[in-house]
Amino acid sequence: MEQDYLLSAKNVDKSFTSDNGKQKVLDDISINVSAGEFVCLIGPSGCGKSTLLRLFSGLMKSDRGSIKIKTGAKLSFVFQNFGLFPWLTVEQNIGFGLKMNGESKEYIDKEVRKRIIQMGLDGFEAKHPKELSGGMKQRVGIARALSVKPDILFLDEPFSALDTFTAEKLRQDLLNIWHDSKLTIVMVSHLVEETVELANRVIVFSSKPGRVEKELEIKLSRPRNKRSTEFFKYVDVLSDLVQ
Amino acid sequence: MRYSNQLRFSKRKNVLKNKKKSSLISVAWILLFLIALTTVVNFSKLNALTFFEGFGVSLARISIAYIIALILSCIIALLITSNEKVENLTLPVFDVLQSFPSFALFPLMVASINSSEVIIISVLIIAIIWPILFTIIGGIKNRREDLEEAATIFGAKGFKRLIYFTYPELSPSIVTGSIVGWGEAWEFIIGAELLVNAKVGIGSYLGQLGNNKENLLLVFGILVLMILLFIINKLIWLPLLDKTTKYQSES
Repeated sequence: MEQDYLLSAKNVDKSFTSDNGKQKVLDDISINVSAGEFVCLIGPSGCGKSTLLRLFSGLMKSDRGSIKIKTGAKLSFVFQNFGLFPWLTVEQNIGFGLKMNGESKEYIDKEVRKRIIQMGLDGFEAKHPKELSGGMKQRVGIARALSVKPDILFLDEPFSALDTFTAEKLRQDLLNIWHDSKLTIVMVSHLVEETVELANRVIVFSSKPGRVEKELEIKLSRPRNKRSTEFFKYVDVLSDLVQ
Repeated sequence: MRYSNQLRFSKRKNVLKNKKKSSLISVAWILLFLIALTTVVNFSKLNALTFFEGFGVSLARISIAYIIALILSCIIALLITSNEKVENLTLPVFDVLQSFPSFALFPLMVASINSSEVIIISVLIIAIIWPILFTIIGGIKNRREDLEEAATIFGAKGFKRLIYFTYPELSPSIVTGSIVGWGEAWEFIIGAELLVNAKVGIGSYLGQLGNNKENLLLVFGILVLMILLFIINKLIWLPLLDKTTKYQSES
């Protein structure tokens, strides 16, 4: 049964030691994600959702429990503050992962070109991150994440550093990418409406320590109408759960 | 759309114009200083051959010391920051060592090392390693966590990580520290050459002039040295600093 999941976490604990002593941020987390799902993790700040994403992607190690990712599945990550290398151009940033994987120059050029067109970055190839607006930076961040052809894409509050209009446009783009590819997405968010707009399934966290409070499937057809009564019902239910 | 295009275009034109202007100005400065240099050398009866031979030898000594100090700094900085316990133990030690005057080691070196070249270069290394080492450590401490994570996610490991990630990430601190270290090296080499009685070297030459009470020549000599160092700064260090810090601060 377990092999069917692309990502599966079981009884995961994580603590951090600070000056105030040891603090548990994640307590007994068990989550399963199937291929092709769009899962959102939501919860108040300090509930450890970003930490969980880092455990999933191997950036951190859990204290207890197991995290299993289907063998051979490739991971990628989109950061809240973009995480672009300031000394590299847009092109070089997008191709960084491919270069590290030892791909040929021809392949990298072709792949980067494809992502530049896909993310609407045409004409910005030679710019450095400093010269881009926030929205453009996150486009580069997403293009870089996609260039390695991941099976699972982790996004850590990817739109919270952006203004509302830019964020909305990028959300639509992300949905299109998810729709057109067989990508599995796990995204951390703190906006209820955003999760209802995007996810198949929302996992609600309580805070200090972070625990899975509830899982909610969003059974709305796509494209979703953000003005419909059903949409608001989900928003209401989730808003009550997130405290 | 048209307006924004226009704006973008004019902005770019301005940037290009400014770039051209600033490089023209620096070329003009250097030319001016070269003219001043030849005039000073011509009119002062400064022995140009001895002077430039001395300068060249000193420059070579400093370059060797600088390269060794730079490599050592990078290795030490990466080693002690790789482990928090090691860092907490060694940083205070380095802090104390840093304040130790490098010339105080001089008698010990003279007693134990035969070659005056080795003594000079060792003193230089000890003097200039600190600014380089501490700025690199500072750079490592101020690393952006999300960049580290991005490098890890996108597969930067081992040697490749060092070349394509760590080096460009730290190059602003490396260059900043180098500029300070390089400046200090010129301060120290004069003393070091005088103390070991080196036959050639800018310090030995200026020392000779001082001993012979040729004060006017000494002033001219110092002036020429200043001009040469200015040119090195303008041609090498400032462009390097500009190149490495240009895109670093993200708005």
